[in-house]
Amino acid sequence: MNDNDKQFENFVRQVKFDDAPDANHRDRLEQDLLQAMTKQAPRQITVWRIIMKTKIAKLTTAAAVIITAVVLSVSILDNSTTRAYAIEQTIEAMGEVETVHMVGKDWNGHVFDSWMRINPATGLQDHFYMEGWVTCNGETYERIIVSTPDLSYSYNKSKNVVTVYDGQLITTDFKFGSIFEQILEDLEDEKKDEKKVEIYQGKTDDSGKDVIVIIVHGEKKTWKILVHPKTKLPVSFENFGPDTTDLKKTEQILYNQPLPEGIFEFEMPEGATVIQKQKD
Amino acid sequence: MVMIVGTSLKISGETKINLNEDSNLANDGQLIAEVRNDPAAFARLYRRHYDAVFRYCVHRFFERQAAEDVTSAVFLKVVENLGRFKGTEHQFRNWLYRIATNEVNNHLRRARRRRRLLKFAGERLSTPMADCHGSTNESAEILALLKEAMLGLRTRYQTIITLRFFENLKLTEIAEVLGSRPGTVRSQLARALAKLRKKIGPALQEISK
Repeated sequence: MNDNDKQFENFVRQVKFDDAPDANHRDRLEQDLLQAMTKQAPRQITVWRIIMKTKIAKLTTAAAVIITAVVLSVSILDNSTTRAYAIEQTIEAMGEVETVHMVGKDWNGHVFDSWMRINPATGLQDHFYMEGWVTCNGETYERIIVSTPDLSYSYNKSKNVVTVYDGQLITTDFKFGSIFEQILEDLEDEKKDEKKVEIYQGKTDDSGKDVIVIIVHGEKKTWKILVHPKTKLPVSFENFGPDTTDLKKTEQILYNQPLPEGIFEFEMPEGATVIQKQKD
Repeated sequence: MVMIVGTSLKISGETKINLNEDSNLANDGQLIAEVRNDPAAFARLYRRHYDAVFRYCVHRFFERQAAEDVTSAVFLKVVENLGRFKGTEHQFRNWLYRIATNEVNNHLRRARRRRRLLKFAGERLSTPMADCHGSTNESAEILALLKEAMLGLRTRYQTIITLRFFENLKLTEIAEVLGSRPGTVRSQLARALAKLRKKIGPALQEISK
């Protein structure tokens, strides 16, 4: 711990407030949880009941309902989808997603195909599959990745080499909706001028369907994200740098599709060289 | 100014900093296996971890009511998803912190949105600042200052600061909770502290004397 850390730790020690758990709440919640376990009560009803116990929750929810109605009516009057759109709506919509199937192309026109399963508790993708091309240390090769909490595999098809990792690959262990959380934080951050975000109503290039277009101009890359106006879920991602070598486009994103059987079970190719590694 | 949705804080005479007092982690693995078919085993697991989850939440919000609501939501998620959890006892604690972090961040986003909507309609939610009964003015000021500074940070930074300084997790443990690399967490912690320093610099200096 360096001096800055120690100084802040001392500061925190000066903060005195009652952070002791309340035994009544602990006991009440325990009873609710045990009931939920035995009755298998529907999730939403139970969560609602617990959260709505407080007066302030009831009041603020009522206020939010009224104000949301105001915002929606403004939206209808202006015939503008983007007016009422808030990035939080996409974050919330993505919270309900259980599986994602993405297909796209990189700058060489190589197709990639990926599947992920989202853990509903953490919002993190705990199972990941991707087949596509990668450039690593100047070498471009076809690769399959299968990552699960127990074991992960990275298969270099060109060389017929499988690298096996203990546990989930850290590069795949992320929250699918985190890009929107990042955009939201950038918008609210005091340094928001460093990243310019544009949001407007547009149409898809190919089919001319209505979409919400989000453009994020970052330091190194620009992101273009198309969001479905009704579901609020992203339907395409595209990122590109100053030159086109960085370009990667996810052309199709499908949600909550049934997973192909055994998609996260890696079958060792015949004659493959196997390298065992610790988690990266 | 930070607006508070919920009830007041009470100031106590004692400081509680080390909040990760779970000494029974080693038994969780066996207990988790039992929990799926045995409500009594779940109750034991719940009681073992309730305090840590609540304290993490209250240190993110600096507010008890929201902390209790979110703690409820966290354990409901646990009940619903325990069947999917296949990790070790150590991973179970990280799993809990992940769920709690998710729920806290969702709650903060919803609260921010509510405030914006209310502002949009020309209304003001005039919720009072923390009620600091029994506190000295100085400690109340420090609390208000820290709260405002913390809630002004990105949620990622808030999470890292809370886990590091309030829950006393090591950088490697925070990295596990966040699914990130320790090096990344270290640099994000440094950035978060630099931002906090800008906001509470004079108070920090004063306390360091």
